[in-house]
Order: sequence, then structure tokens, then C-alpha cells
Amino acid sequence: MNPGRIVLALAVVGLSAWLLLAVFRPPPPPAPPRAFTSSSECRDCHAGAYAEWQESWHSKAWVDSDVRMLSNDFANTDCIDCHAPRPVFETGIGQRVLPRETRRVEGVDCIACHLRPDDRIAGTIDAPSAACRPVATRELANVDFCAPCHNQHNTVDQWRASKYAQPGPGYQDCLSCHMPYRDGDPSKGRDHRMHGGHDLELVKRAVELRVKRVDGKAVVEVENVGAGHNYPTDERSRASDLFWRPRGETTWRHLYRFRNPYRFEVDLPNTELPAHATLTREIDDPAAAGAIEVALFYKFSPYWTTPTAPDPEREAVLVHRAELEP
Amino acid sequence: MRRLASVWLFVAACAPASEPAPAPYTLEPVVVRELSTLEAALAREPASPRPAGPPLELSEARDLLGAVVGSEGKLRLAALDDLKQLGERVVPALRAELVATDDDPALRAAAVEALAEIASPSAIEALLERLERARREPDPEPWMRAHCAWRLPLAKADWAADRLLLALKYETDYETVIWLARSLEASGSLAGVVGLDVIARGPDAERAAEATSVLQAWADARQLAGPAELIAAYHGGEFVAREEPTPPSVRARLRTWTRIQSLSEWQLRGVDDARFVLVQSGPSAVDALAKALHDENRYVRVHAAQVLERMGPRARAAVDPLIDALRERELAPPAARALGRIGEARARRALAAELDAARRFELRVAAARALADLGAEGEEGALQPLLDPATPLDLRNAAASALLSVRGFDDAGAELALIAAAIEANAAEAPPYEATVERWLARVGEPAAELRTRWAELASDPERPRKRAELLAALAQPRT
Repeated sequence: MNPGRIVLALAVVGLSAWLLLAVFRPPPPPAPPRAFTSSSECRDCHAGAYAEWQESWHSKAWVDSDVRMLSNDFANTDCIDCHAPRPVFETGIGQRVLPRETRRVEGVDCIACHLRPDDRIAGTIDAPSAACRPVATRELANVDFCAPCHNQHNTVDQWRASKYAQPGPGYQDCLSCHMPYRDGDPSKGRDHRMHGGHDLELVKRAVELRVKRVDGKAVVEVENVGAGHNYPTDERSRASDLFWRPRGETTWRHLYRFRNPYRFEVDLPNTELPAHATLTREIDDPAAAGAIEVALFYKFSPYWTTPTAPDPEREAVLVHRAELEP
Repeated sequence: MRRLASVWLFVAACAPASEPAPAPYTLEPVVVRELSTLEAALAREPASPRPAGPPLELSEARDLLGAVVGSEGKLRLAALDDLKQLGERVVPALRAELVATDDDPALRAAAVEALAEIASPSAIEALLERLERARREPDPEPWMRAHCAWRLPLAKADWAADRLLLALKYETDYETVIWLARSLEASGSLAGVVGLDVIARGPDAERAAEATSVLQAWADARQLAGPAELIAAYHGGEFVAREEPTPPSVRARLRTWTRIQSLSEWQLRGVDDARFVLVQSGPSAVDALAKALHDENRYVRVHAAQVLERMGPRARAAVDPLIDALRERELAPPAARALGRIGEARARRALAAELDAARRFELRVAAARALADLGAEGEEGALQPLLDPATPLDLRNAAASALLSVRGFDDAGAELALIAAAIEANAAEAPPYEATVERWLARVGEPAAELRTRWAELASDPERPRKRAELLAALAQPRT
């Protein structure tokens, strides 16, 4: 017999046997049920995602010193529900979350987003034999999943009113900006650092600063070109301030503030910049007839050390800067 | 066949009698039902008499107010009575006068008095709206809020207490806070003691003296030594039986149930307002909240349990409904915490049963923390195994706190070591553990006198958590 044919026949038989085994092999037994008591239990298998989450502000939601100060050490009890929530799947997607009793130091943790009421883990694949028995759960990517906390200050409603919420090629949701694919590659999964206002590059992409002369007057424009919601949004402690100064001067002069004031600040209007909107401000000052600098700053607390002479370079983050010639 | 039946009957008779299964925890539309009943009852109440004639213009009302302001004694009372007789006809004009700033402030003060005398629901609503103005817009005349707070008790409307309580949460004008506290006390609520205490210790010497004087007068009236005792007695639930002497009106009960309904709102600010008001409310609110533990809306029942927890000993009438609530999955953890804070010893056995490994982790931790608040006498057997290093940390620490409540000075080493580690691990989480240690220090008495002194000395130390943790860790070492 032709040795080549023998080899070929053996290969066909072997391949058939392998295919039969692959198709009819019984699935591995399901993993035993497990009650999760801490997000640190996720670290062993998901070290990368866990490290990203630890870097995120979700992980600091309970312990961050600014949060503790602004919430009066959580004596403002309405803050607890979202800063240490029970699992979203327990109360239901789109429903308000409830506060939890345990491990509050973990803040908005793995369990808050991924634990299902059946003690399985909501993820991107079905794998009942894996230790956490993940279940592919598309709702994780739904904007209503973020809404229980992030619509407390109407951020999700602001997105719904934007063109990003319209189906079609321009559609972008919460995850598009705040939880993008790692290296832009869907096969690598989503980045769990939850980029937001603390990510200067993201803030820079949210707005454009322009300055021009109109009839000899300096006119400043700030356009919300990249945020799918107001700029700034969500936390009333956030503010963004527009300053200008004649070139060569060291002191900045305040021009405008974007901010949603605290409820007790009844004399202040909400000046957040909605998605796609543009603010236009003329600098009504003879000193602006010469060369000027204009700058947009971002702040995590609305207060200045010296309110009458704010020093944005020390107390805020520079987002954009522009110059205008005479 | 007959023999077979006899055998079956004999076997059935010999079988051990099984406990009847408890009825399932019922969930019903409690809030909707109560609101509907009370609204129907309110509709049956006689309406305020409506005098014939068109509503008065503002100028006409000002003429009458001028007569009140410009006269004294019986003439003044007669002018006020004229306004009172006009009733609903003059309310819209008086309401407009409350926010007018183009004329004599004395007229506005008289308008407040007249509305309180008229005392119809719409007149009281006008005063309450004026009281709340600073929450909607800048208020150029804070004194008008104080004036409204002062005059509202004249109207004898118990349902207004709900709004006065909420005003306490947001009011920043000290004079208004003092009058709110006084008005609430006149209606049977001592909720203002907290605000008065803040003012008494504040930088405004004049208002501090006034607040102290009010607190002292209330303490005297209750045979207590002074403000500190009064405040402690208020938080300790001393006044449950003595306050709220009359059954609340239908309108007041409707307000209570409306607040309970607000617990299901989406916006947490509204939820927190409702919690604040309900926590400060009287015994009738405790009864209503106990019923609400069976509401079909999860937010209503969970937040109702939170309110009862914050009421502490003043909510002791809700202990049995809360023990029953331990059977409901979502409600059980906050119900357990509430039982701990209320402090009735009969809840101990029910809480200890929830430490069982078959229960959900969240509930086990809540039950252990509740036993730490309540004192774990007789339940050491259920707690001791939880100190095993294999127990999740939250539960182990909670069990250590609970066991500390029954330990003496010389046998608390294991518990103190765990609590020291918990305090050291996270300063932000230290206060509840520190409170546990302070209760233990107070209970063990003389042997801990020196430790108590050193512990107290660290109270305002910037490194308090770390230093206190070191103190406890040293104490936890085996002593010779």
C-alpha cells in the first residue's frame, strides 16, 4: 500500500476522532456556588481589571478625603447609597441603588456592578465551570446600568437629550468615553479605570476654547464638542472657570464659571454647558484691546482660597489656553 | 384493606408533630392604601367656612393691616378680628403681602399674625411657603422666616409640624432656628434640641445665650439638670410617652404617610428629606413606619427600617415588626441594624439566629453589628466561632465588637486585637469601633480607669485612630 495513503488515512481517522470528541465531550461540571464577600476575591483571576479598578475613582468612592469632607463624613446620608451601593442587579437595572452594610471601604466595587442575585457574575461570556460562574450579560453596557447613580444629578438625561443618544453612526454611550476598549481593541476588554473628570485628556476632548476679534472686541467661545452631557456634570462640587489677562500680566481675571450650584446656593443659576452648546462671551474691558491670554480651568471643589482674587494656576487644572493679538 | 388503613393511621399518629410553617412575609400596597383611606377621611371633614364676597385687593388688605399696626390693646384685637372674619377672602392678599418689600415691614409682621389667626389650611400654607422661601430664592428678609416660625403655633395645626421639621434641616438663620425649635416644642416635639445645641455652642454670643436659655427652660420643665441631660434624654427615647399628647389629625397622618411615600422617590435628596422628618417625628410615625415595613415597594420598606434605626430607643414600639422583618431578604439587614440601635434586649435571640452560615453575608454582618450595639449577653456561643481567621473580615470584626460587649477587662484580648487592627486599617471606618470600645471601657469600670484616661486624651489628636489602635493592641497582648 502506498505509504502516503496510509498516512492520509490515519490523519483522516485521527481528525475524525478529535472532532467527535470535541463535539460530544461532556461539558466540564459547573463550579460550586460561591458567596462573594469582598472584591479582593476577584483579584486572583482578574488581576488586570482589579488593578485598573483600584486606580479608578470608583474604588475611592468611600475613602477619598474630598468625598468625606463634602459629605460631612457621610453624615449627609443620601450620599451613602451611591458611594457604597448594593449590587445594581439586586435592585434592578434603571432602579435606584440601595446602600450596603458591609465593606463600604471598597466603594463602588466589582460586586456592585457584577454580582447577580443568583450569586453568579455578570460578564461577557457564559462559563458556568469557572470559579465565579460568569453569565454573558449585555445589560452591563446599557446606559441604564449607570443611571441609578449617575442620573441622580441628571447626567444620563443630559446624554439622552444629546445627539450621541440618537441611533446611527454618531451613537456613543457612557462606555464609549468612560470605559473604552483597552488599546481600542474589543478583544482586550474594557478599561476599568472609569475615566472621568480626573482624566485631563478626557476633559480636554470635551470642550474647545476659541478666541477672536469681532468689531475690535475680544470674543471668547467655549464649545462642548466632546462630552455627551453637560460640561461639567454630575457632581455639584465640580466647576470650570474661564479667565483672561493682558499678555505680560501675572494675575488672571475671571470671566465666566460653568457649574451647577449646590441647592442652598439659590442665588446662583446653573451654568453648565450642555452637549453641543457654545458659550460666547465678549470681554468688555479696554485692556482686552491689546494682546491677551485666555484660559479655561477645571476644579474639583467650587471654592477658592481667596474668592476675591482666585489663583487658578494653584487651585485648578488648566484645560485649554489661547492667545489673541491686538 | 381496613387493616392497611389502621396501620397508616397508627403511623401518622406516631409521626412527630411538625411546627407549622410560618406564613410568608406579606408585601402589600400599604402606602397607597393608607393614603387613600386618609384622603377619603379628609374629604369628609367639614370645609372652612367661605365668607361671601370677592377676594380683597392688596391695597384693601393693607388698609386693614394698617389698622392693626396703628392701634393698641382692644382696638388692635378688634382690627385683627376683622381680618380673621374675612377668612379666605383676605388670604390671597395677605400671602402677597408676605413677600412685598415696598412698604412698612410692620404690615408684613401683622400679615403673619393675621394669617396665623385665620388658621385655615390655605392661610397656614401661606405661612409655610414664606418660611421656606430661602430654599427657592434669595430672601432679603430672614426675620420674616423667624416671624412665621414664631406665629405658626397660634394656628394649632399639628400637620404643619412636618414642614417645620424639614425647615430645621435647611434653615441657616439662627433666630429662625430658635423659633422653629420653640414652635415644635409647643406642638409636642423636642426635635429642635439638636439645632439649639449647635447654636448654644456657636460663635454668636447673643443667640448662644438665647438657645441655652431655651434648653434650660425645657430641662427645668422636665425636672432635668440642664441642656446636656435634656439632649441625652431626647436621644435616649425618654420622651416617647410624654410628648404628642393628642391623637394626630387626619391631615397630620396624611403628611406622615406622604413622607413615607417619598421614601420611594428617585432623587435621593427627597428621600433624605423624608428620612429627616420621619426620624424627628413622634410615636404615631413609629406605628406608621412599622406598617410600612410590609409595603410592596422595596425602597419604602428598606428606608422605613433605616428611619426606625435612626430613631433609636424612641422606636421601641417597632421591635416586634422589625424582628418579623428579618424574614424578608432585602429588608433584613437594615431591620437588624434598627434592632441594635433601638436596644430592646428581647431582639437578641432573633439577631443571633441570623448569624447562621446559611444566611446571606450582608445579614450576618448586620446582625453581628446589631448585637454589638445591643450587647450580646447569652449569645457568645453563636459569635465565638466567627473569630476564626477563615471568617470574612467584616464579619469577624463585627463579631469581635459584639463579643467585646460581654467581655471583662482581662479576657478581651482577642477581640481588642481585631478591633485595633480594624481601626488601624482604615481611619475613616474607626468611629463605630471606637464607640464599641468606649462602651466597653465604661462597662468594665475601675480596672480600665487608666486606659479610659489615655483613650480620652487622644480624642482630639490628629493621629487619633493610629494611636488608639496602638493602645488597644498593647492591651491585647497577654498580661502577666
